[in-house]
Amino acid sequence: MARRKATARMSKKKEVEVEEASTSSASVAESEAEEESDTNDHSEEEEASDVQSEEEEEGSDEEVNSSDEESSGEEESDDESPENSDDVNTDSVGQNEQCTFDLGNLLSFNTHQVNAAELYRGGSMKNNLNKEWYELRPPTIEASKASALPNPVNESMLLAKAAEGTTQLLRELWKLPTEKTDLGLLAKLPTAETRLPRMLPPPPPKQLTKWEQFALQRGIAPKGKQSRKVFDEATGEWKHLTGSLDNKANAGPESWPILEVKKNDDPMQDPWEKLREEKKSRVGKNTESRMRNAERAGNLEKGTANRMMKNVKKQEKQKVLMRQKEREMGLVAPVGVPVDMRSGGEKAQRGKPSTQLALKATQTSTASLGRFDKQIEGEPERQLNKNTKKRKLDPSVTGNTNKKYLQTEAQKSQDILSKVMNGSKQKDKDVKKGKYAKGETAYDYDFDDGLGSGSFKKKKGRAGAGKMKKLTKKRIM
Amino acid sequence: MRPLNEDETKTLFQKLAEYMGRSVERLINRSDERHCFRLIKDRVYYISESVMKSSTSINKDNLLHCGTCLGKFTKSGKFRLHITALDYLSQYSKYKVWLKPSAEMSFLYGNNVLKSGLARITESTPQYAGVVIYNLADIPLGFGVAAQTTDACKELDPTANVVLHQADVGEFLRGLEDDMF
Repeated sequence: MARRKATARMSKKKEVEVEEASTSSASVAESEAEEESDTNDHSEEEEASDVQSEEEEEGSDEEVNSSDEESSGEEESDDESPENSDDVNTDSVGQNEQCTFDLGNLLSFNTHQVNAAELYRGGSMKNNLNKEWYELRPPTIEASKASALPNPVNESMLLAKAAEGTTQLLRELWKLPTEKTDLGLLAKLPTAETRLPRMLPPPPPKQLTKWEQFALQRGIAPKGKQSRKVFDEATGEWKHLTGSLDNKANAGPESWPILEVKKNDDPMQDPWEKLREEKKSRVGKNTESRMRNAERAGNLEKGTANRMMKNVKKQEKQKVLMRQKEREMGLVAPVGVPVDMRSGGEKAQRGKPSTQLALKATQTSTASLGRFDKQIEGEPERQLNKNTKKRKLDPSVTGNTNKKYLQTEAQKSQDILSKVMNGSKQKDKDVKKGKYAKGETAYDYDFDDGLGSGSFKKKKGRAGAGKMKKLTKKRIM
Repeated sequence: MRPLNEDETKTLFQKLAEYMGRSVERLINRSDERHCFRLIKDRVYYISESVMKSSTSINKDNLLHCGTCLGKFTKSGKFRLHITALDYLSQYSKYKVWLKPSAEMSFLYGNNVLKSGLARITESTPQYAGVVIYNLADIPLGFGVAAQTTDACKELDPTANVVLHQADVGEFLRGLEDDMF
């Protein structure tokens, strides 16, 4: 405040100069700063001049204003001042109130207390007598509605306060350091001080997974980002860490033609089979733990993981049982190690049955499952699979003449009729969707509403859509 | 020959309900013999149970019609009533129109009914309701759609349409629709 007063004294002198001669904008700023002191006499004049000069300043690109504009502005305000200073109650208007600023957000805060009596003074005739016509009209559309309220607010006072705040803000902006760019003169805004509130509620905190909880507990640091490719010493290539198995680089030991038998391994076990099974179990475990984590976080319904596991186990059991059954029934050739070399346990099936089964297996082990292969001389006939399920034909396709069917049919038609007569919900939905023609009258159903064909298709698939006909003159009807 | 599926039945009943209202039920539940609806190549036939049973013994390619043809489904799924359904429509129709003798011939040639030809009309006929047209001797001549409500008909010009023609008995002779029979 002390600084301000000093400048005020200085600027009083300077203000005289301003009115007569040209000045730089800095001095103009100082003269305007005088407004912040408690001189009320010239306050209206100053505000007017301030507003005018502000407008002029905004128009120009340079900091230094041209002398002509300013002096003209000052002269104009000179004329107005004798009239205005007596009439308007300038105490109520917030010239004295210095605002605080947050230039980063282009905000100016006027935190001074509002005089309640002033605020609700509203439209008393005394005040309105000497006011200009533009002061009497409410400044905003909402204000005109607000004046109809029981406690009308002094809108003009609020507007004056707002104008004051804006001018002060603009003044501050002009004080900022500037840079010249191809767009013009730009002011460098400081970093924003006020934190604006969130528009939407914050997202709920993420649930930690089981591993993350454990790591937190034990103080294990997270792994950190891995590069996508890794240099493989053996092949001298850069291989992806993750990716499809089609890529030879990612295939792993399953693709190796030879696998060594280690000490603890069973020599009779298929190592590739073993690898496949291990991978399956790993994948299953992974999906299960992911599901459980999701359940804990609330993203998945509780109990789905258990259900899935049960299902998977059931299916696997069924598969195993089926295979066993087939083997027992003699429908499938024994796989894996040849019969001779098997070490007890299973019944050794030597002789005709096993040979027949083996032949059957080889006959169907082609891409087309043996359908188009040529038979060699003496090869027994290919036996088609007897296990194909017989399809149950729809009674609507076969002759449906038995009484029971007719009864049910009558019942069904009754139900449909009741739906039609009583206006089913589905129909209302369809009308809304636009499936029915525009209008609800009978005649409209034959009307071509231009919406195209309905859902009835005589044939399935593309054939049902109908032939696409070339649009000729004749067809444009 | 196959029975109608749900959507087709719905469309059929909606159309019939415009003419008969609730009496469609009487088509389904008959006192004498149970009748059913069957489709042969998009045409809907209304046949009794016994006729249907015997018709299944005929080769599909050789079977042309069986029972009463009510109408057919168009390619876009809409159902169009034929004149052959007049028998049942006239039995159960809700809204009826009687024609003067002068207008009879005009209607049988396929023209719409003007107000000057209108002798009588059932009360409270809604606009665009299905209507069966009778002779003054109560012989059904055909069916159509009411262009105006009964009250509005009173204030019309004599040359205004009262009933829009849809099918008439004269079609049997004219053979208008080639694929009808």
